[in-house]
Amino acid sequence: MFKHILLGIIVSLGFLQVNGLAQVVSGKAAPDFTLTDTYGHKHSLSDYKGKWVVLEWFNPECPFVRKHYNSGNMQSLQKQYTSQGVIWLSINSSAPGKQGSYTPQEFNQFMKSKGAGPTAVLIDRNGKVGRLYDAQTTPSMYVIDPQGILIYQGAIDNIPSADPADIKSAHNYVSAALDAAMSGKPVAVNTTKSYGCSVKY
Amino acid sequence: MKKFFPLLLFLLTAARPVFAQDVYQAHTHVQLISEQNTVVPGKTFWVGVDFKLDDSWHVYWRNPGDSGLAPKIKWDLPAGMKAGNIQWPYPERLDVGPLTSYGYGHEVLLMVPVSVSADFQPSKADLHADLNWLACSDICIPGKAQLALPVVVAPKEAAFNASKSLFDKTRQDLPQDIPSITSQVMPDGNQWRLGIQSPLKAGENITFYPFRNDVIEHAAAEHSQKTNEGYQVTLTKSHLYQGSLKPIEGVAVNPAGWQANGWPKAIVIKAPIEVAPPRTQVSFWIACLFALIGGLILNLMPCVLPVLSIKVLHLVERHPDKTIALRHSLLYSLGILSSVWALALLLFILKAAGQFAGWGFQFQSPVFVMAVAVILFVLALNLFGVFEFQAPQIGGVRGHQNGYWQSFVSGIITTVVASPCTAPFMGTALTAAISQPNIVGFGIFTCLGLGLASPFVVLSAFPSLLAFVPKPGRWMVYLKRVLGIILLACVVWLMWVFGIQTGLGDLSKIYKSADHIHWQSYSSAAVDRARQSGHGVFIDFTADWCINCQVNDRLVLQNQLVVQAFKDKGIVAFKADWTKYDPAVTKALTLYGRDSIPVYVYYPPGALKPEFLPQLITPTTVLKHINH
Repeated sequence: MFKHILLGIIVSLGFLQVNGLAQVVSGKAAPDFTLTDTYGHKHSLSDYKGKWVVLEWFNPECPFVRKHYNSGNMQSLQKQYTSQGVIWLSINSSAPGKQGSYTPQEFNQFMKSKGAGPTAVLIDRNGKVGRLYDAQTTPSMYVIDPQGILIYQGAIDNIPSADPADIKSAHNYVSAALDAAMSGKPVAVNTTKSYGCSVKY
Repeated sequence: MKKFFPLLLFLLTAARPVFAQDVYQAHTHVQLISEQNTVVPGKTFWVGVDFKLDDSWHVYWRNPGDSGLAPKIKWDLPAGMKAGNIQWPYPERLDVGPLTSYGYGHEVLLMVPVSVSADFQPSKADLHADLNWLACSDICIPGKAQLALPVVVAPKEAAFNASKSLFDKTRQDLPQDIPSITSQVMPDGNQWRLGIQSPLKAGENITFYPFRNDVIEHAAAEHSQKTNEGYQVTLTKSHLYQGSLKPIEGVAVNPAGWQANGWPKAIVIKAPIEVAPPRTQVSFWIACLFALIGGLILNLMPCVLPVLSIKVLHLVERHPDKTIALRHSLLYSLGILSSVWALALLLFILKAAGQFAGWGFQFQSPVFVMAVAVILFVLALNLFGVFEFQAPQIGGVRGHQNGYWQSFVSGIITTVVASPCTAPFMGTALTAAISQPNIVGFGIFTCLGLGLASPFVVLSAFPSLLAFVPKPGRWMVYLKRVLGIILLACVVWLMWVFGIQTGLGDLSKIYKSADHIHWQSYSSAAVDRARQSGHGVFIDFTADWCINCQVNDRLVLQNQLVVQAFKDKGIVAFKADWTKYDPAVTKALTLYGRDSIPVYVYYPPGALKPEFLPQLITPTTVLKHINH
């Protein structure tokens, strides 16, 4: 009997282990997290139940991020969707001392100088949330529906390059996912391989 | 200054100076080079972009892995010249924190073949290439350069230059296609098992680099081991993998080389995906025939035989009249068929609901086991003459009609007590029944029912056969006693199953012989570990309610020769117990494409593919497999 209980415990631990390793999967609930923004306010994903949420992993010094900020591409996406009530969270997971580990003021300065308009810039200094979402590159994009279900994860568009000239001809996966889902249509592509610099964990 | 930079670049490059420039940008020196000073019309020559990187900087392979970007070359060549694809030398694995990329440090030459048309007229030509690359250390910087290379066209002979040695050195590192080395990949849960068949096994560790970015988790630990045939590399399936069945392509690197001369280190892999162990797909008619034979054999199973015999005795005793006997036989057959159909229906409903169930699954319920035990116990008492069935009234029905009803119920009981048994031929038939469309499945189950009912179907067709059964007499009383004892044994066995299911304790432990196979409980991870450590692995899918499993266990797996052989060969033995519903065991059964137990799986040491033993095993068959 005792052996059975022990076995049960081991088996359930095994499952926990598996769950711990399980990646964030499109079509499943996006894991909750809490981070502090550049103004000291706390944000939890669960605070935004009922709203569409975009998570954008960024690093101001990564050439691929610069491609989308210097061209104005990221800002226009942010403006277009936040004006429709979408919550846009830009997350930085650079470890202290690594590239892009700005102070809150520097992040605000960066966003201001670029004319960017995310809902908030969240600082993930220890990389916990980045690893939770398995964010590998900057940029990496995640779209979450009002029920908290992840509906897209991966690259911002389909041309992996650092060249702003490519944006014109690229198919933007994030706006495609948001436009489709917000009008009640299925999301055609829900998972892609993100491209860019490694997240500086 | 920033605004002027592109303009400056434009002014500088518009003139396109024609000499092999060395551009230094993004911590990288890049240069377009050729190994020939002169090129010949009608022939192909090689050019390459030579990357020389600052210390700790790297550029990327065709698949950059988790982050990064492969260099891109856009050619602008004179008419009559055509550039081919980049020939990528095998990369190295670059681990950065939790991420892994594939690329090159120090220096790499990306070679490209350029063909020159036979009627190429000019005596000189300039090759231009727009190069985009990304260089990273712990940070990344994109590079962009326009490179040019002048070549002289000579009608006869090519003249090589000092760069040739770099080209030759790079050629050593280009992945080769060696037809004698074959490969295949088997999906296994969240892993890929890449098998590479290579006669020479010089190196210890093989590294696999996939061409596509959505096949493996690049950062996951890669494990390779030697097998009888070559190597097996265990890779983790990418969460991006979309489940297409296209072959998995990439490069496999053996540091000791794939051939006796130590070359090449890298080979091209194009591994077809093998769908889990081959299932024997049989046609409907074969499956039906197998089901018929299997059903017939089921009549000989220890719990079924008494029930069957009781029915025959009843007919002989009470209904010498042929027409009445015929009706009883038909009703008995109908009882069997309807309960088989009910079972099939239940299985298909469970299947449609996404649940997996197989033959005999209802014995996973202790309540069911108890109910059957009670029925068999009552039957045994009846055989011992403690009471007669004829007396109680069912729904106010008397006499013959009551007897008919009883025949129908006997048919149901026969099916119920037969279900924990799997007869030879049945496994194939049932697998076919469950894996095929439901209508076909129903057909196969019907055949099984007919097989099980066949003794009575035959009796119905030829009632005169009953005449061969001796006239009722004293022998019947003795036979009934014997049958009753068999039934009581079945009851004891069912109680034992019930005890284990409800956790009352495993009575069988008392009987365990001194020397037996050391069983471990099944888990796919433990099986993997045992296989990776080079042991032979034996898996026994069993359940306490599965009579064949128990018989095989007692007569074969506890046989001293078998036990000794297991010990001598160092075979790791796993018991996958299906007595109670267990998702892990159910999943494993599905993986092996089986729907009924017993199933015996054997992996010879180092083998990629499992061997399946028959459902009825003998010590000889087991020994043959493990000594092979």
